[in-house]
Parts: sequence; C-alpha cells; structure tokens
Amino acid sequence: MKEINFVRGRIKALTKLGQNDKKFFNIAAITTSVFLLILAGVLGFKFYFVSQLGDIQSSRENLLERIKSKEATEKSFVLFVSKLRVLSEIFSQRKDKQDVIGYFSQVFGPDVVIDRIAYDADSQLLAFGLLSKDIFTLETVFDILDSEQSKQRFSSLAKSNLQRNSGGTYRMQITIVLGKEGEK
Amino acid sequence: MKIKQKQKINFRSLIINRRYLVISVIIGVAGLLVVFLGITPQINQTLDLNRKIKTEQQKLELLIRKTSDLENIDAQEAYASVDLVDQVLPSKKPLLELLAVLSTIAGKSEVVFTNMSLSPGKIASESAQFINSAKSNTGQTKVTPVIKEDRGFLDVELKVSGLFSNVEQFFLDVERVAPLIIIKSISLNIKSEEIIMPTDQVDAELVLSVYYFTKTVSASLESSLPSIGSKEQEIISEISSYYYPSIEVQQQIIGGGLEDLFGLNIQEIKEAGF
Repeated sequence: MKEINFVRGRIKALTKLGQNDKKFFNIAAITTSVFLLILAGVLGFKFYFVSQLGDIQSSRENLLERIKSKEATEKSFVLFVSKLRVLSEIFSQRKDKQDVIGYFSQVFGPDVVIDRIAYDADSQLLAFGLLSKDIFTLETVFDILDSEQSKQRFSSLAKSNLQRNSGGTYRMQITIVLGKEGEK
Repeated sequence: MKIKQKQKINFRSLIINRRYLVISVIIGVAGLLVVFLGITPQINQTLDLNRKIKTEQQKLELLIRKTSDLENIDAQEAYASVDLVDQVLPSKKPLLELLAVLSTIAGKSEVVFTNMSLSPGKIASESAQFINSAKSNTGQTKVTPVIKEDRGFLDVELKVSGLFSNVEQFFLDVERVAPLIIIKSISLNIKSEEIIMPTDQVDAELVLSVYYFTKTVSASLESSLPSIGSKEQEIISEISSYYYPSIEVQQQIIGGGLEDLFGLNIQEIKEAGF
C-alpha cells in the first residue's frame, strides 16, 4: 500500500527555515561569545588596573610616611631657599646702587668729593651731593654727566641745587633713577 | 474563541518548529545586554582607571624624587651654607648681631662711633628731605611704597668719625657683613670748604637698614622641593666672603649655693641638733 505524504512541501519549507534558524543561532552564539570574551578581557584589565592602583597608593602612603619623618629637614630647606630668593632680590637692587656709586666715585677724579648719598629703595632713587674743587673741575663734571657714556648708562639723570661756597668750591646734587628703562 | 485557540497553536508551533530562531533572538538580546550593560561601562571605568593610574604615577614619581632629594639633602653643596644664610637674613630682628658686627668693623676700619640710635628721627628726616628734593628733580613727587611681606627692616642712625680713607673703608665693609645691611643714606660733615684728602679727619652720618626675614613659609607633603638656581648659587658664593659676628652666650651659672662660703660643716651642725 502506497503512502501519500500530504505535508511534504510544508516539511521541506520547515527544514529550510530550520537550517536558516540554525545559521542565525550560530551567528548569535558566536557573536555573544565574542562579546562575553571581550567583557572578560575588559574585566581582566580592570582588575589589573585596580591592583596596580592599589600598589601605587600603598607606595604613595609609604613615601608620604618617609617624607613626614623628614619634615624638619624639608622645613629648613624650604626656609633656606625662600631666604635665598629674598636675598637675591635685595642683592640685585643693591648691586645697581653699588655699581652707580662705584662709577661716580672713580669717574670724576680726586678733585671731586661725593659728600652725600641718599638711597630710596621703594622708588629706586639715588641722590648724590658732589663737591667740586673749582669751576674747572665743575666743568669737567658737567662734561662727564652730559657725555654719551653717562646718557647710555642712566635712563634718568638730573642735576640740581648748584651752589658756590665762599672758599670757591661748588656743590651740586645729582639724582639718578636706578634700573633699566624697560623695567619701569 | 477559535481565533484565540488558533493563536495559541501558532505560538506553540513557533517554539517547536523555530526553536533555534527563538534561542537566537534570546542570545542576541543577551549579547546586546552584554554590550550595553557590561562592555561599554566597564571600558569607560577601565579607561578612567588608566587615567587615574597615570596621574597617580606622576604624583608617585614626584614623591619618589622628593623623598630621594630629602634623604640626600645634606649632600647638596649649597645646603651647607644654611647657617650663613640664616645669619645674613635672620628670622628675627638682629639687634645684638648688628651691634656686634658694627663694633667689629668699626674697630677694623679704625673709625669711632660717636652716636647710634634706632628708629632715627633727625637724620632720617634730613635724609628724607634730600631724597624728597631728588624726587622733585626727577618729577617723582609721590611714590607709593612697595610693601614686601617677606622681609622687614630696622633703620639705625649712626655717626662715625675717623680718617676719610678709614670712613670710606667702613662704608665698603658695612655692606659686606651678616646680618644684611644696606646703606640708606650717607652724609659727610665737612668742616672746611676745601676738598677732603684721605688723611683728613671727617665725621659721617649714616642711616642703615638691617634686613630680616618675615615671610610665613608653607609647604605641602605632595609638593616638590624648591630648586636652587644660578642666582641663588651666586648669592651663596658672595655671602661666603662676608664677615660673621660671634656673640658670646653665657652657658652656665657659677655659684648658686653649691659652695660653703663660711667654711661651716653642715653635717656636724645637723648632728649637734641645731
């Protein structure tokens, strides 16, 4: 007796669908497995980083303890450097003043005496009182003060209060603003 | 009723006939959940951790350097001058040191003090007049004083007399001593109106500023140590040639009842019942 299969077409279609579904299943399973592997890798990195951070923090604590134990040395060194910086600033201002005094005490020669010096650190002003032996020495003083060398050296140089004494000596005042032109 | 039954049959048929598709959908959804709820936030957290590690590593390197610097600080050549720097710029008003050093350099230069006072009035005002006249000559009639919070100074008025060459030497020496002194004003009292010779006797009035350190220094545990530059090295080499006063300090008290000045035997007196 011959059997007649009435759902042959349907079975065939279902088999084809089943094969396609298996393909989808394989793709989904592989993709998800890859995702899970990536997640495991990321988690592995995270745990590695966490442990590395822990190591760093414990080293940090250890170093901080060592630094704390050297607190007195650090305090002394920081104070030392701060003082050196203050000294450096004071010395640079004082050097300008000393250079100018050194220049004027040599440039005029023995017939001119600096009898007065006043220095104002706030305004960086330096004022001299000059005593010249006679009118010829005074002329030399004027020539030196008006020379190119003096003009180049000092951005501001003012002469004032010229007086003649009964003994024939001449007294005058020079005022200089210390520091370079660009600094003002 | 028939429609509902038909739907139920179709759903069951779907599970039976297309179970791979259903499982694929479930796995796909799970995969998406893994991506969005697992991988993405974990990557973000890991990247954050990595950034944090880099920052912490930099801080750690700074701390390692600081610890090593602190442990080897005594080997630094510049730091050996800490006592000299403390004497040149002390952390208190250096009155005793000033008196000691002025007395020594006056003796060395063979000049004599005739007067000395703190917070000068008369000379300061004369000096102020001189500098005010100078300011009016340069057009600087009003100058706002620059207040430096890291230093203080003490003005001292001084009158010295001696040979002109010795007084000149005193002027040079006074700025090369500890504590740090800056000549604010010099005024020579010239009796005759002739030019002074090095062997002439002169009187000089000086106003000196003696500096001391007032800054409050702060440092945090994690900050690096300050460095010593070339300018600071120059200062150290310059102050090494300065004159440093030595002040004798009384170390012990002699006496205090330890000696029996009257030659009495205390033990015998006690035994005798007095």
